[in-house]
Amino acid sequence: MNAQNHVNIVMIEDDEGHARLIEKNIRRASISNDIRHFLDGTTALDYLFNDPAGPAHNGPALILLDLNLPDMSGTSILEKVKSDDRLRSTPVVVLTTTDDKVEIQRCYDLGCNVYVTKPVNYESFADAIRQLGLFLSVIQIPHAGV
Amino acid sequence: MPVTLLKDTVRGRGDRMVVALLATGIILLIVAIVAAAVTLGSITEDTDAVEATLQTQATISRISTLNEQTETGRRGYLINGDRSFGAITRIATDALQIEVDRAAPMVQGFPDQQERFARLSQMVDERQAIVDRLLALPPERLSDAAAENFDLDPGVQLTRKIRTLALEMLNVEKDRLSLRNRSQLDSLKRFYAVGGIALLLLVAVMATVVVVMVRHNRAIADAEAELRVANEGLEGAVAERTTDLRRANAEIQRFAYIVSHDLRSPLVNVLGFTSEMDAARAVIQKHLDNLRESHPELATKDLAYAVEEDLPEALGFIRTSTEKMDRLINSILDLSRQGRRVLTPENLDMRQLTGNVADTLYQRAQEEDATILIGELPEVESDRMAVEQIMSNLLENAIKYLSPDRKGEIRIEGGRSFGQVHFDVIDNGRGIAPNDHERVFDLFRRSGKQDKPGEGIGLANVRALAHRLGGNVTVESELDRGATFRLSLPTRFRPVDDQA
Repeated sequence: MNAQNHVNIVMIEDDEGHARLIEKNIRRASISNDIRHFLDGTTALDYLFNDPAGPAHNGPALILLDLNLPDMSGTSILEKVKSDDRLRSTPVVVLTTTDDKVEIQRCYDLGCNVYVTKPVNYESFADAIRQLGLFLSVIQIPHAGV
Repeated sequence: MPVTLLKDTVRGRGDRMVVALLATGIILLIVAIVAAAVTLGSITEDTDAVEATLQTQATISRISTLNEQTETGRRGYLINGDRSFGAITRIATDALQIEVDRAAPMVQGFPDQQERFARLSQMVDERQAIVDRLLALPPERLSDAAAENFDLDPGVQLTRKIRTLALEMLNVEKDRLSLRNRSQLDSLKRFYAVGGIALLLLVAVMATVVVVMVRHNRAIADAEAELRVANEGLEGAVAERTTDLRRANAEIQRFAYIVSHDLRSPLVNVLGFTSEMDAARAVIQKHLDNLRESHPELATKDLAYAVEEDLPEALGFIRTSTEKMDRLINSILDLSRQGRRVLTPENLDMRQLTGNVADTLYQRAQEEDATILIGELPEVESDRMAVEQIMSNLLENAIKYLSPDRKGEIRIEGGRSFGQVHFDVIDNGRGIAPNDHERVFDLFRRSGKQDKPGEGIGLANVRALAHRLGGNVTVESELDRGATFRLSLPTRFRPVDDQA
């Protein structure tokens, strides 16, 4: 599980409650990777592209992305990430309340790797996060070891 | 509408004018005919008078001629005593007498001629007497009579007088003839004048009628053009309003979508942290259980009550309420989503479609011991998913709200009328009180005994769908007498475009 430990989790989520619940469940799924939490799109993008510790300059990461952000739409962040050569291979998990088919399709078209609907039913929610842990443990990290 | 009024006024004014003019024309025509008849009568009178004068003239001429014949005969007889001359004289005097008798009525009414005629008649009588006397004379005495002076012969003198008088009378008649001829000509002139004037007036009236009609027609055409413009304006206004409504509708759809979305977000937290609290409570519960075994004196009644009664109860209420709220929000989301779905019309075999829907509800119907009968249903062109949804909702309701007092019977019937088809879902269930008929179609509203699960979404959704399909859903029911829900749809799909 060496590779897993190198992967930083970047969580872009404006709702602190959601962020906390996600984090709790990630930890509960015994995933101990670092989690960087951003409340809005602008600072998140700045970190992703410009921060020396960010994934653009410093290796593998996984992005947890909420679609409803106060300053921009999550899909535009997704678009920017997937059109950047350095970030294209970074897995993006869209985690949002929308279960609209059109919206989901749009995210997949833009290159999102997993789309998770936040269910109100907490058990399903916890399940979804556990699935995420599983996903995290098997993903290929191309930049690992570089 | 002012334009229509204007048109009516134009038409009314024009009509009245034309009627008045035509009436004038008819009156003029009658006047002309009467005038012509009167004039024609006077012409006939004049002609008769001329005829009479001509006859009088002829008679007087014949009198004159016979006068000469009588004299010639008498003189011949007087000179040579030939009996044949006597016979000629007799014939002439007889004829003369006849002509005089004939002339008598002709001069009636003309005093001057009457007076002359009286004299003439008298002279003819006198001459008759002379002739009678001469013819009665024995032949031997004829020579004596012949020897008498010719100029002193009273017969000769009478003849001359008669001749003069006849000539005088002829001249008078000639004057009268020319007078009567002139009056006849005047009558004729009058006739032509009256006729001509009437004709001219008639032509004038007709010309006016034509002018009025043309002007009137033009006014109507103008009014119609105005009306058309007004109508087009109206259509524009309607189109504008429709666009506004569509925009408003789309706005509401978007609003419902966003609101329900944003409402969901906090719910995730509420439920999530409720579960976290439950998890925390489980830890405390475990600790309490341990405590009971190790230090029973510390496990107070209050503590047990808080952990085992109060907390689970509060968490339970929070959870059920939040879950209900989530269901409501999901329903709104569904409704809003259905409002945005693109409808694809196709020909639907409604018997088959309804059969399929009934099959999916077969289990439910069995549980409620209800039978579903599907009658003859007309075909319709519409959106399959929407119609299926509507029929499924109506059937589900029928099964759900049956009466416990009788065996459930649900019939589905259909019919068509004036470009519309309708499908009736008829049950013998618990029915709906009349004052709840509209309420049941409202969102989140239900009626009757609340002993069945449901959010009060189904019928609101059904009606919204039917409206989108260009149709409607109505209910007829009485409490405890069953209910009939009728879905009406246009036979041919007409898009009700609510996506501005």
